[in-house]
Amino acid sequence: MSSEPLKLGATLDMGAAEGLLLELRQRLQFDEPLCIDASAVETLTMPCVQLILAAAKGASVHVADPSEAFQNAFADLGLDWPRDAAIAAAREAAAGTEAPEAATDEASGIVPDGDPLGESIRSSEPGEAAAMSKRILTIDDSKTIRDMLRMTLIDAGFEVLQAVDGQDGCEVMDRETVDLVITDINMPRMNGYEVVRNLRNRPELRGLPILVLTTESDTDKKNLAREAGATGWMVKPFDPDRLIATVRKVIQ
Amino acid sequence: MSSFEQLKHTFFDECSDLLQQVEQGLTDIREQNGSDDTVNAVFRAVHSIKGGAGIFGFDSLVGFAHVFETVLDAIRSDRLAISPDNVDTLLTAGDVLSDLVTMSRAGETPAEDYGRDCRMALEALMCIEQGEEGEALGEDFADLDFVPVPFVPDEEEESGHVYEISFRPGAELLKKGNEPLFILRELRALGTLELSADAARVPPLSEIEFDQPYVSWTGTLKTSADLAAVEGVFDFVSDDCDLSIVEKASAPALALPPDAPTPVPEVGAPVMPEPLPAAMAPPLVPADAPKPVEAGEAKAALAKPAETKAAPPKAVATTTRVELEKIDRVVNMVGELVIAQAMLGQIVQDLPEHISGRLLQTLDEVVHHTRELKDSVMSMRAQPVGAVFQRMPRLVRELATKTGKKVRLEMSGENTEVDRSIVEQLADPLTHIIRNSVDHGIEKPADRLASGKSEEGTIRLGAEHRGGRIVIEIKDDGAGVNPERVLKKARERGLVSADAQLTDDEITNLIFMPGFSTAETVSDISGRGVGMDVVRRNIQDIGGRISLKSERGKGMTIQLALPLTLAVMDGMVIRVGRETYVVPMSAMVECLRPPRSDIHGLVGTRGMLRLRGELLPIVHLGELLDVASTESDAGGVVIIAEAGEDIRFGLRVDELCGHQQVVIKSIEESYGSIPGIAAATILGNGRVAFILDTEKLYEMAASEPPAPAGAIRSENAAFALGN
Repeated sequence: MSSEPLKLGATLDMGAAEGLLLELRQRLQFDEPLCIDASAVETLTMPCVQLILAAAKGASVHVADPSEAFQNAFADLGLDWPRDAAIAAAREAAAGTEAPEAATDEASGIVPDGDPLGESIRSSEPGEAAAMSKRILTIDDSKTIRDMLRMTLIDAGFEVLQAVDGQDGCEVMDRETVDLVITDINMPRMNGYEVVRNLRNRPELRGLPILVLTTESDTDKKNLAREAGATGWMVKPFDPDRLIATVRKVIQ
Repeated sequence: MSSFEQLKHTFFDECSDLLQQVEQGLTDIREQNGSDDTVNAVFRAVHSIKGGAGIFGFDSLVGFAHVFETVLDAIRSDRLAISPDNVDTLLTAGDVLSDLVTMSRAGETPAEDYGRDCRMALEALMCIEQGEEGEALGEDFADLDFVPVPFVPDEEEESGHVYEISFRPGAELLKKGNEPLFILRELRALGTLELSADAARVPPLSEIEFDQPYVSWTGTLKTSADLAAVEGVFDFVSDDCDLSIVEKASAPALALPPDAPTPVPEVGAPVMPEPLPAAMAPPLVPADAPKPVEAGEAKAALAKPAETKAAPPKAVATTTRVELEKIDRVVNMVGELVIAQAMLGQIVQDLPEHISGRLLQTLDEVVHHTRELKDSVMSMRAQPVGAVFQRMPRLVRELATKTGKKVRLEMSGENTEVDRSIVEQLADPLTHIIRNSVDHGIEKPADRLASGKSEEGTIRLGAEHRGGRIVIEIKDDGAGVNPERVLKKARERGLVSADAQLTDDEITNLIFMPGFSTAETVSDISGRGVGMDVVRRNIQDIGGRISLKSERGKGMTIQLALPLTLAVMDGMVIRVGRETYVVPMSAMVECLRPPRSDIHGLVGTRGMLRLRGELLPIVHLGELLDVASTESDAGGVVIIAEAGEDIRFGLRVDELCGHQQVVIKSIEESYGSIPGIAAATILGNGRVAFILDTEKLYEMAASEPPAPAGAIRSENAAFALGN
C-alpha cells in the first residue's frame, strides 16, 4: 500500500532544505502514506526537521531506521519524529518475507523504533566527529591574522582556505564549497559587509554561517554586519580556545 | 612554540609594508594628492597593525595604534577635517608607530610615556572636534576592552542558578546562518536543560517556507554559569529572536539586562512581532508554486548589483610572497643554464657544418628562451626603489626639525625597479647623501630669504632607468659646494699639493676623497665619521658610479648610476695574448680597428687616439695586466670604454671573441680584491675569465707612469688564474 521509502541524504542542513521540501511535496501530493528512510542521515538541522514535521501534518508519515545523528537532532530540539504504526508494521512484514538484507540490517543492530527521546543513545557528544572534515574560508588582508586563524583552526581539525581580500574571497566562493566563512571588515577592494551581502545573495549559500572579524567591540559594527546578514562576529585579538568556541557555535 | 614565532615574524614583515603605506598615504595627503581611498588605506594599515599587535600582546603598540586609528576614522568619516597641522601630527604619529613597532620587534618594552606628546596631540585633535567624547578617549584606551562579549566561563563555584528561558526564533534567524539546534546544544553544555518545544505553528507542507523558523521553546536551565554566560549563548541571535532569560532563584526583577530584547512572557502570546507575518505569507502563493523559479529570479536580480560592486575601482596587483632564498636558487640555476648553453654553443660550432646547421637553429631558440628566463627571474628579484625612498621623508623631517631648517622632499620614480640586493645596498649611501644635503646643502630659512630663495629648501629624489642602468638623482637647491673652502680644506689635509691647479669640477669631487669633511662644525647629523668617500666606495662596490655637480649658491646634484642586477650581465669576450677577459657591455661605447695614422704618441701617455676630432688616451690592456700581447702594435682592436661620467678612453686588446651573457661569480672571497678585475665568469669552453672593471683600469693606467715601450711585457701570464 505504501510507495517506495524516501531515502534521506547524509546532509540535511539549510542548504538541503529547499530540495527536501520539493521532494516531500512531490511524494505527498496525493496524500499517500510515506515511509522515510533516515538511516544515512549524518547532519540534520532545524529547517529540515521542520519540513519532516510539516510532512507529518498532512499525511501518514513514518521515519524508519533513524540514524544516531537524526535522533540526536530531534532530541536536542526537544521534538519527536513522526512515526506511523501501520506503516511500520507493514514494513516489518515485508522485510520478514522477502528482503533478507533488511533483516540482516535489523539484526546488525540498527536502532529500532521506540525510546523516542533516545536518552540512552544520545550519550556520545554530538558533532565532535563531524568537525573533522569541515572547511572554513578565512578572508583577511592581514597575513598575520590569516596565519593565526589557519594555525588555530587546523590545530582544531578544520580544513582552511584563505583569501586576501573581499573580492578574492567572493571569487574563492565561486568555485569552492565551505561550511563557514570568517571575514575581516576593513579590507581593500571589497569590505566585509559587502562580502556578507554578496554571499547572502547567492541562493546556494542561504544559511551558510558567516562570521565577521572585528577589532571593534562597539555595537555599531556588529549591527551593520548583522544587517548585512552575518551570522555572528569574533573580536580580534582572539585566543585560540575562544576562537574555536565561537566557530563551534555556528558549525558543529 | 616555533609556529608562533613564525607568526610573529610574519607580523613584523607585514608591519614594514603597512608602515610604508601609512607613510606614503600621509605624504600623499600632505601633498594634496590624497583621496578618500588614501585615508582609507592609511586607516586600514594602522588598523591591521593594531589587530596583529593585539595577538602578541604588544600593549603600548595597540594603545597607540588605537588612538591613531580613532583619529583616522574621524577623518575618513568626515568628522575631522584635514589641515596642514593635522597632517603633521599624523606624520609624527606614523613615526612614533614605526618606532613602537621597531621596539616591539627588538623585544624591548617601550618606556611608559613613549610617544606621549604625540598621543596627546592626537587626542587633542579629537577633543576639538568632539568635545567631551574626545577627552574620554585618553583614559579609555588604557583599559581598552579587547576581549569583550562572548561568554566568560568563570568557574564560579557558586551553587547553581536556575534560569527560565523562552526562545522564539525570528524570521531572519535561519537566513543569517544561525541554527537553533546549535544554540540549544550550547545551552545544554552549560548545565542541565529541561526543554519543551512548541511545534504547533509548523504549517502543513503546502504552506511551509523552508527558511523560516516555526518552532519555539521554553525551558529551565540549571547551571553554575552566570547570566552573562547564558546570554552569551544567544549572542549572535539576540536581535533575531524573542528571548527572555529570567533567573528563578534570585530576584527575578533584576534578571533582564537593560538592553535585552523585548521580553515575551509579560506581553503574552497574542503579540508575535516578526514570525507571524512571515508565516502567514505563504498561503498567498499557490501551494505548488515552483520555488526554483523564484530563487532563480532572485539570483538574476541580485547578481547584477553584486557584480558591479565587485568591480574594483582600481586594479590591485595580486601578489604572493616567496622566500628570497627560493628565488636565489632559481637565479643560480639560470646562471648555470647560461653557462651550459654557452658550452653547448661552443661544441656545436666545432661540429662539421652539415650537422651543426640544424642544431644551431635550435640552439638559437634555446639562447632566446634562456635570456627571457633570466629576465623574468631577475624581475622577480626586482624591487621598486621606493622601498628605500620611503625612509627618506622621515629622515628629512627629523633633520629639518633638528637643524631648524625648512625642507621639502619631492620624490619621483619610486616605482623604478632594480635588483633587490642593490636596493638593500642603497639605503646607507642614500641616507648619507640626504643627511649631507639637509645638513650642509640647504641653508637656514633666514639665509635663504637673504639670497632671494624661498624659505623652504627642496630636495628632489628621483630614480629612472637609463641605458641599462638605474640612475638615482639627489638634487637640492641649497648653497652648493664652496670651491674655495673645499680647496682650502683639501690643502690643509694634504689631499692636494699646494700648487695643484684644479678645475671647479675637480675641486668639487675632492669631497669624495677619504678623510674629507667640509662641515665647519661637526654636527651630530653628518659628522659621524662616515664621509662621502665611504658613500662612493659603497656605490662602487656594487658596480655603480657616483658623480656630483654643484653650482655655487644654486644647489648640488648627486647622481648614482647602478647596474640593474648583480647576477648576470651582457659582456664582450676579448682576448689579449693567451688570456680571455670580459668587458661589461654597459661600459662599452664602440669598438674599432684604428689605422696606425690615428694613433699619436704624446709624452706622458701610451698614445692618444684621434676619434672624430677628439683625442682619447689609449690603455694597453696587456701591458696593464702584464700579459704578453700577440699582436703587433699596429694590429689589435680598440674598445672605446667609459670610465665614469664624461671620461672615455681606448682600451687596446688583441681580439674581440663575441658578445654573450655571462654569469657573475664573485672572486673576492677566494682571491680578495684584485685591481682592475670586477669579478669572474665561466665561459662556454669551461674556462674561467675575469670581468674587467674599466673605471679601475683607467685609474691604474693614469696613476702608473708609462713605461718605455715593450719593457714591461713579460711571458708571465700566470696572474691569479688557475691558482
